[in-house]
Parts: sequence; structure tokens; C-alpha cells
Amino acid sequence: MGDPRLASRLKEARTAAGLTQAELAERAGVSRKTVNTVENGVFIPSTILALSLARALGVTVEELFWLAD
Amino acid sequence: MISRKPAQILSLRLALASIAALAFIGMGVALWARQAGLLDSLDAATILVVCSLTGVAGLGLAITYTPGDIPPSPKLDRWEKAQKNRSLNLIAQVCLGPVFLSNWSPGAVELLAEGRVLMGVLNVAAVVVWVLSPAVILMGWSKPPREDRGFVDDELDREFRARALASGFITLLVSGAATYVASLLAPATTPHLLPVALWFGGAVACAHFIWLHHRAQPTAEDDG
Repeated sequence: MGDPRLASRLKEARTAAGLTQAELAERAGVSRKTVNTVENGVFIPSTILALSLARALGVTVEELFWLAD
Repeated sequence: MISRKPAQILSLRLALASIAALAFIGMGVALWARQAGLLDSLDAATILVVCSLTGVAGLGLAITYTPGDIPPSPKLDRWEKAQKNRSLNLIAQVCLGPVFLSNWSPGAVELLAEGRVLMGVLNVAAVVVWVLSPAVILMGWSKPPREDRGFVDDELDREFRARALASGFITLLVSGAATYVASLLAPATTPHLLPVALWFGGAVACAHFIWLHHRAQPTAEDDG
């Protein structure tokens, strides 16, 4: 499920926004477990989920996810 | 006190659940042996009592065992509770399957052979329902409340379900092939083996699904 090519700073962005996983999950309309697995790199979010997370944090998708070279 | 990682705790729980499952399978074997005349009533009753106590104890410990040295987990929210209830339901369906199938399946064969069509059909229906019920739960066809659906059936849940179904499908192919070979060697065993083969595919899918969700459960450290 995870992919080493995907880098993420979702956890940093979430903590910078002062949100818990549960709060971010509720804003993005997903379960806390989903946020946890995306943060840990276990689960690759879909485009819609990535956009939802970015919107919930008030950042762009590129600020959250990028390709690790 | 030795500190145990959550993965080790889960391994212990799975071992206890496996013991419970074997005990329930033993009950099914005892029932079949009694019906086949291989065991007398007293021996079958003794085996049933021992296996049922072992099975219930194993299942209870697997569900409730929480040693004091594990790291605290965040309090479950309502959707995680819904997921946990779903997992417990799946565990019960899987563990009790062999017990009921080993009684209903031979019963259906005997009743239909005796011409007792209504009772035979009821037994057949019971077998089919029990084989299919884990799939109903796993697929989310037993609809949760509307306000919970988006969370219990979100993107991660669908991904886990797809992976679990793949495991179940492969298991079903293998168990079906084994049943086919067994049916060539002993055709009379086919009505007894086929429900077990079907149950096994569903059981593997359910177990994989539960495992994936458990492994993804957030800990207190994740919420930093």
C-alpha cells in the first residue's frame, strides 16, 4: 500500500496547524485511521483525499506531498 | 516487568483466537463423528464440553486480554468503535462457522435423503446464510447509520476490503480445488466439504481485514 516514492509532510503540517489526527480527519471527512496511515506512509491517498487534506489544512497539495527522488 | 510491543500482544491474541477456532472445529468434528457413529454419546458429549469451554475461554481472552504494560491507546471515536464492533462480529462469525456447518451440512444431506424436504431445505438455507454472512458484514452491506457510513466505509476501508477480498479469493480457489480433488476420491464427502471450503475463503478474507485495521490503529504517540 505504501510507496517509497511518495514523500509527505502531512504530520508536520497538521501539528503546525494545532490539530489532532481526529480533528483533521473530521475536517477532511475521513476516519482518524485514514489520516494516521497517510501520515505514516502506509497508505497512499487518492487525489480527492489529498486535496481534501490540503484544503482542511489551508495549504496546497504540493506543500503536503511530493515525489521523493 | 517486561515491556511488550503491541505487535507481540496482537500475536498472542491471534494465537488465543486460533486455539479457540481449533476448539470450535473440534466441536464440529465431534458432532460429525457422533453422527457417523464413530463416537458414542458420552465421548462426544465430553469432547463437546471440553472444546466449548476451551473455545469460549480462548475467544474471551483473545478479545479482552490487555496486560498493564502496553502503551495507552487514544480513546476510540464512534467510527472506530463501529469498526471494532464489526471486527468482533466477523470474529464470531468465523470462529463459530465450523461448529454450525458441521451440524447443518450433514443434517441437510440426511434430511433430504430421508425425503424430509422442508427440514432439509431449512438446513441448506442455514448453511448458505452462515457461509455468506461474513461477506455481508465485510462488504458493508449491513448498512451502518447514515452519519457513520462515510467514515466506516471510507477510502482506507475500501482499500483494506479489496486486499482482504483478494486473499479470500485466492484461498477460495485453493480450497475449491482441494474439494474438487477430494470429490473425485470420495464423492459422498462433497456436500460436507464444500461448505467448509467456502467458509474457509470467507474466514481468511475476514481475518486479513481485521488484521489490516488493527495494524492501522493509531496509538497515543501518533497524535503528537
